[in-house]
Amino acid sequence: MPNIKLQSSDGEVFEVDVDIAKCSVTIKTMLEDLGMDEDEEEVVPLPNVNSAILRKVIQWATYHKDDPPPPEDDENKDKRTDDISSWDADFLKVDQGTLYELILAANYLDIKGLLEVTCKTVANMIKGKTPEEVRKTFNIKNDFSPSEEEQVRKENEWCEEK
Amino acid sequence: MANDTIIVLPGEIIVYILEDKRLSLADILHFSLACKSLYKIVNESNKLWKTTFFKRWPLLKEIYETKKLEHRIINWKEEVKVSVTSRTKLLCYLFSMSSKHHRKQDLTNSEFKDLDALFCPKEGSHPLAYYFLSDELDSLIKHPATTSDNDIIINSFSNLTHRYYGLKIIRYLKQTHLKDEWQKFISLPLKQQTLERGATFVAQWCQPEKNVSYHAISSILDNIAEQTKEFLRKQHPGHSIFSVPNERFNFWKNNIIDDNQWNVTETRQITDALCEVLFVKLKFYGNSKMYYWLEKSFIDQVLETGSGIPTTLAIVFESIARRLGVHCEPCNNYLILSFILLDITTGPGFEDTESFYIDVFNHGHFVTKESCPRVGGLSRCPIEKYNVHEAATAIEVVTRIANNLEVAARQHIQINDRTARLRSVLEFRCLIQPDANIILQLGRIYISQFMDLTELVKTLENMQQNLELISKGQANVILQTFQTLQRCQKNLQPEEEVKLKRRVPSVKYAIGLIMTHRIHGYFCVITGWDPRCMASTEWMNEMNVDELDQGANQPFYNILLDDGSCHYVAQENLVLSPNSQGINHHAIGRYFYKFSGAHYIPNEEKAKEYPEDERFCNELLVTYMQNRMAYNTT
Repeated sequence: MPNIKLQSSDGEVFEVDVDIAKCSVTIKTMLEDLGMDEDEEEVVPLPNVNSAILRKVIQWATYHKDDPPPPEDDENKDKRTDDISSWDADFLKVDQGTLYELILAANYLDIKGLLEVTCKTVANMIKGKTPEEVRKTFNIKNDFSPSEEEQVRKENEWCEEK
Repeated sequence: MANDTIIVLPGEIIVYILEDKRLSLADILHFSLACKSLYKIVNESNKLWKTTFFKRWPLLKEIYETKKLEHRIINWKEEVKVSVTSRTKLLCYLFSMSSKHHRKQDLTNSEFKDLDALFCPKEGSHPLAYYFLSDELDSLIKHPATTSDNDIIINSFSNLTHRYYGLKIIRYLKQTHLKDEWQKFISLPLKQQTLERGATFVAQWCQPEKNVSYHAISSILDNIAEQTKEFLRKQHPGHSIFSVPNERFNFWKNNIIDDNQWNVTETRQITDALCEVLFVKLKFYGNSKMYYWLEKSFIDQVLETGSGIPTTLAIVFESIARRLGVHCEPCNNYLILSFILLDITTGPGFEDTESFYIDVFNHGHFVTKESCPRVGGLSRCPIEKYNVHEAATAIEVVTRIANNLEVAARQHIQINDRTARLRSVLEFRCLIQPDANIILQLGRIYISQFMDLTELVKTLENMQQNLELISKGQANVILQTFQTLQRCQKNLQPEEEVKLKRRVPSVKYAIGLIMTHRIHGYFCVITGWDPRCMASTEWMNEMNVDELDQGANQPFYNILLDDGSCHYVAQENLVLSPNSQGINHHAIGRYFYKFSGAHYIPNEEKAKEYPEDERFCNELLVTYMQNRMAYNTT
């Protein structure tokens, strides 16, 4: 089985099955553009992903390697509301910092499935919350003054459909 | 490190997260109110609001696409806002209707005038407000009881009273809109007045509760044309249709063509292929048994079920043939409308024209001068006639369908919505070609439903100015009759105060109870009662009330029947018989808002009129159930 070496931002090198690595569109195009030969001992540097996150990403990609490729057309965009599988849910039981880093990594590496499931996890955290609860959940500091907040709220009152 | 707050994510990822289907508008708003930078991201993302718009209202996509507006909207947030606010106003209007109108048998269009500001661009509404409102009502009617994240709105249509008035609103809304659309249609150049557009118009007018779209109908027709091409390719791969550029097909789709685009042999090959696909593969057939079923006249239902009356089948045939460059014309004689003329020109000089008729009612058989069946001996061969008559225009064909519909509506077996259907058809005829006779018939319906005649009087007055002297007399007589009736109506205005119905011991039943008739055996529901018969003496004589055991001096009940009729019945003829089926009557919602599974629960207005009935009804049902259980165990 041909392997490929990926190097994280902090210098750790991971050896991964090429097919698994290729679920990242970024890596796939890199390999194709550079015309890298599969038996060459070259290392692909990933300066935007640290080793802890890269390990998780590889773990996710290995588990999902046999998934059917994500549909391309916009029509199926709606389907990304399906429930999160229990394996993914377990996999994503991480602190928020890690979750965001995973999102950024999935975005940078262009791994559609991982980006979807991580964003879905965040959407679940947003659902049904008041602004105050959102702040608490996401550790956000309120920088609106009370009168500003009142005004913005008024302007957008119609969003609260009766 | 501060990277554990969501702010570390770039704006486009935040937007991507918020595009999640499960997040409501309120969720997005609450999230954005957390801090200024999130608010900025959310507020300024046109993409997010556009996704949200179509996520929330997927059916509107078609409207924006066909009107080519999708890329022209600059501020999608504003679009979402207008859509939400106009829908909210609509629901407010809907919920207020019962208290305003519960005493009216039916409502005339003039009673909906307040609604115009919500959806008529002329009155200052958003240009697409009509689509927002009809989308709202369509989805409410389609999913009366489904649960969704917006429970309050969805539940409003499992409320029978809201449903009852909602259907009235949707009728007004769509027909008002269609009136404008019709004006637009008839002012189009003749070449663009295609038959299928006209037929769609009829289907939309007569089925306001259904979402009939021209776009959908046209794609079904396109699809059959494609299937025909495929079939043709197998048979005659060298047919010159396969070297025609797409723009030509597009042109044929939207424009009536003057002549055939092919020579005789090739035309025949196309029509043969079309007959094969339409009548053999897709099993379209002329329905001779239910000639006067309204449904068979509606192009959407004909395309759905494959069976239809000749006129509608002929329209289907013509519109597909035209998409393939074959020129057909509907024939002007209504007796033989099942034939369509196929004009085959031989040679480029048109000097030698040969005509065929295609009998769409009989699997598309070709009929020539020799083989033409003479219908009932009354008519000559349509080909001979063709020389005399011009081919029918779309407007003439629509008029013919409307006439058919009137006959069908009158013969409709179900009393339930017969009046409503007939009214729709007559109002439609009034729109396309008003005449005094139609107005008189419409007036009869209005009077029977105690509806306001003002609008008809206005139409008549307008009409008079344009009428020829000879028809003026008739119109005048009708006008005077209406005006007299109008004055009577004004005097009959119901008194403002509702008379409360306090229970008296002799009244054994209550409103909302389901009963059976002792003699006729039908199921019915009680909507009102009088302690003794309050009908006129004439009525009592006619109904032989004095032959009843207790005569007129017993409680009488207003009831609604399963077949859609209303009656006034003596207590001695009714038996309590709760069932779980409910009563299928179009006016149920006027009196009740809910079916409990054994009886109907009165709406606010009815409950106010009969303040003590609900308690009495519940007690009665409990006793009834206990007795039945006791009976079953012994």
